[in-house]
Amino acid sequence: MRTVLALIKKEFLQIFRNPLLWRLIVFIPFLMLMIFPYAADLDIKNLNIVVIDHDRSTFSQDLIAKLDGHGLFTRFGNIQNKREADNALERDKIDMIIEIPQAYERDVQKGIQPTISVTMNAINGMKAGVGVSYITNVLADFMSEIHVVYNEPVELPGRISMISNYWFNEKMNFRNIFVPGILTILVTMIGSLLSTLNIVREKEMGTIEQLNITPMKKHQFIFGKMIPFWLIGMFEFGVGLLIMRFFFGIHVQGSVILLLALTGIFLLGMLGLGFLVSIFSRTQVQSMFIIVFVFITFILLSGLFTSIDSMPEWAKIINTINPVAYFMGILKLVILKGGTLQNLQTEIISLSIFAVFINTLILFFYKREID
Amino acid sequence: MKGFRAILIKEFQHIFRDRKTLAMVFVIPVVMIILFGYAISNEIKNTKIAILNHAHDPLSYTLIEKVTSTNYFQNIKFLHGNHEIEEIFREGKVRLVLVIPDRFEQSFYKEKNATVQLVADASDLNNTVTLVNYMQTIVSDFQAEQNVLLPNMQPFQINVKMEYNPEMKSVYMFVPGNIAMVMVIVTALMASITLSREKESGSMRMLTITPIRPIFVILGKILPYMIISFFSAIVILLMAVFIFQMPINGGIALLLLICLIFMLTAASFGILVSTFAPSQQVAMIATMMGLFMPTMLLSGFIFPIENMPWILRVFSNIVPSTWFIIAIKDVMIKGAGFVGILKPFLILILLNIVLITITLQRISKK
Amino acid sequence: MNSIVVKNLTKKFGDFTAVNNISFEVKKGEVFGFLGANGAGKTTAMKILCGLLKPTFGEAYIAGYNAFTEGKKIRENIGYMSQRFSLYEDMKVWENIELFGTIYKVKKSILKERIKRVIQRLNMQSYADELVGSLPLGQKQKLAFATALIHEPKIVFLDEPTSGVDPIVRREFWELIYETAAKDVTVFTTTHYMDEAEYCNRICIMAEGSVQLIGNPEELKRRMRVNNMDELFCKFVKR
Repeated sequence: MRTVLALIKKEFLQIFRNPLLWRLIVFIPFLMLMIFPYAADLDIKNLNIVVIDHDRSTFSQDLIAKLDGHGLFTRFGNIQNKREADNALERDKIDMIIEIPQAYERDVQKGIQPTISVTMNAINGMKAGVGVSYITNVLADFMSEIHVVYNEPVELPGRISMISNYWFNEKMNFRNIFVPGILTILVTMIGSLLSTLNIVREKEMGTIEQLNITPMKKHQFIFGKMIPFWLIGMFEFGVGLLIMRFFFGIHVQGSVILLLALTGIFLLGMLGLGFLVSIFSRTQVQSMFIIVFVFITFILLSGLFTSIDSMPEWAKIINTINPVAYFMGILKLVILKGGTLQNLQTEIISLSIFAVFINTLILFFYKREID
Repeated sequence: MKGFRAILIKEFQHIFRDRKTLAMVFVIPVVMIILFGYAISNEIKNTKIAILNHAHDPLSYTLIEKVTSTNYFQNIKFLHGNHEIEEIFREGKVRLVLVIPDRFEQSFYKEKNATVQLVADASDLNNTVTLVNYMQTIVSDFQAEQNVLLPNMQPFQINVKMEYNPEMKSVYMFVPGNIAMVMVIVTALMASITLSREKESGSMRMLTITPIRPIFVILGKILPYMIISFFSAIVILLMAVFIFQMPINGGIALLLLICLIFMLTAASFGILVSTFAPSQQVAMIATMMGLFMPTMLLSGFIFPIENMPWILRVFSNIVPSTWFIIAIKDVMIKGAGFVGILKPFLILILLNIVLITITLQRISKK
Repeated sequence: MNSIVVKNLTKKFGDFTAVNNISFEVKKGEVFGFLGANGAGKTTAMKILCGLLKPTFGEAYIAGYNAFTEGKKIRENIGYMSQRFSLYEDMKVWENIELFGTIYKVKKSILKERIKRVIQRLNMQSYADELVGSLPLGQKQKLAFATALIHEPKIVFLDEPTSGVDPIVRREFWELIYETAAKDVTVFTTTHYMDEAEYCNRICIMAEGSVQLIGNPEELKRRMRVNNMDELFCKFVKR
């Protein structure tokens, strides 16, 4: 116990002796947490459009007014021909060109089916998809309105309307999801990257040899290295929660203690992973690359950027061993949905298995001998 | 010049001896592009939904039939009461619950107005808007079908042309960003780490007393990483073209030229960081925060710049990756020529000059 | 009584035999010099004796403990100072001593006393609160030696302790070594400097993994009919 405490004291001494390092550890994460969520907004809030009206009729003007009233579409400049519009599309000035055909009004009145052309910049496939589905809905709406007005119906048709409700995040604010997401990335990176680099640095500098020669037991060394970074990770997470609460106004719906306990388990696994990587690397560069590689994979598949539902089977299989995906799920559940212990059984069991497994591997692979 | 070559060779030997790192440098981009190409798609297929049917009348079953017959939605559970909605969301099994009200059929035929409710779990916002729109379209279609007796809606055709990316593939968005990320990791990160490692181990001092000018010492150390990152950029491009059928509509030479310029920018950033950083750890963290994270989050790679608050929009203008990504997209997808990318090109050059000037000043001060 | 007994000790790394069938004994309180060119197998042999490497076969007893099976006992009873300076440069002088003292389970009250004594003995009172990284190399080496002795081990292993240190500090360093040996602590050291070899009670010259010569420096010089250690060394190493 005394040995472990001495080792912990040593780590903290070293961290605080390095003025740049501890400032980076303390400030950068919070800066990131306060800035990046503002950048993370995948919502499609605005589409710049050009409407080329070949008809110039009351109907076409009504349609344009309807588009203007929708809120999503902003009409760009006063472009009236296709060539100019194409040019604007190429220069990324606009996202969409809508062409209202000649004789649009006449055709509608005669009952002839008009064709409306939509050209969309589809480099951003997601935006294009959403844009088209919106414009289709607007057109359908408009057409049925003018139908009611111009073709006096014999009998009023039945209508089905749909109300949509968004639970747990009523205003559909990406920030509510991204703040916990960034927090996860931070805790993971700071915790395991720092601990890995720290151990490998001791290898590079040769100081680890002096530790290896002592009668210190394996687990004492492991605890001595893990506990300081576990504490740092927990500290980051705790302050992150405060920022989330007071800066972003996101309240934890579930139990904060449960959240902290689960973060503790998660960190044990991630620190273990960092430790394991350090065993197999000789240089800090090596270990950094391995960690960055593992984390990019874990984070991209975690469901933060895209929904796990739309991933292929193999990605879902990888996710069964992806601690970041479980943790991301836990954060969403506890912070946004007020989930309790019962809702989290799979996640807790999986994270615990991961932590135990990784740390067993460490005990197995860590050797003080240098061959 | 001889000394320069010696350093270059030494650094190459160093790189090739460290097989693990070398492997990572090539594996990371390949895995990333596979992830972005296959796993990180926004394709909507078999989204799991639950249905709470209060009506239990024939019309409600027809609607359910209609909803679940599409590929978009897959009903995995019928709920029996409002209280179950929260529970099923907490279990995280479904993203949407469709609630059909009591007396659905009656409302539709007698009162001519029925309302269904769609409850979305907005703790996952990926595709939520699209999903809701799809459901809306299905419901509108259903309404039209139920009114067959009289033409409810003026039929019309919508002729959609998806310019540049007809299949709306997500790789088109991700390939340029991917190249930027790899260049940042391999060039900037490795440059800053390698140089600060020399500082840490004290061998930099030894090199600066050799007759070779310090700038050549630095170049000799950095060049190998630039060459390697250039290779991995080419690997990404080849994968994009041959696996994901992404076109290269513009000139390949122009494309490589932009990569080269960006690589220089990344290298000078790395060198600049190393002039401040006393240790590898600090260099690593500083490059990650200074260039890697902005490339991930502020360059338009994943998140649209237009949605950011103005101060971040301004900041994104000085992130080199922003301009690199624009230029790559324009050349690859739109087939732009040199004139077409003049603006991003000149800005990249300008950023380069600024970085190099500051770096040179820092170096000569020592 | 012998504090180190080595019989037919061999260490192979794959096909390469780093230490080939060496045997020797070191008496308690002796200053034993281990000589050899780079790559002669000195460091490997020393690492086995310290319990850092497992030998391939042979026998080795350090302070009476078996190097094959009692690594932990060995580590408790030896001190070690590595070739590369391996104290923490970003910690203060007393913090380093305290850290290793604690790891070696020296009682808190005793440790306090010892730290005070060590700092006094090394004339480092003015340095005690400085970061180790800011000390001159010679001071660092002396500190590393003192730290290796903080738990009062029976044997202390030194791997080229004075390389790169100026002559005055080297002399001071050897004074420390004699002082230690006088307290019945066995000192096992490797060195590059031939004049230092003459300070040893006995030396062992290694080449290509095997022991070439063992004995008292004066005696060896007489026996081999050479004038100084340099000649002696070259005779065996250059072959």
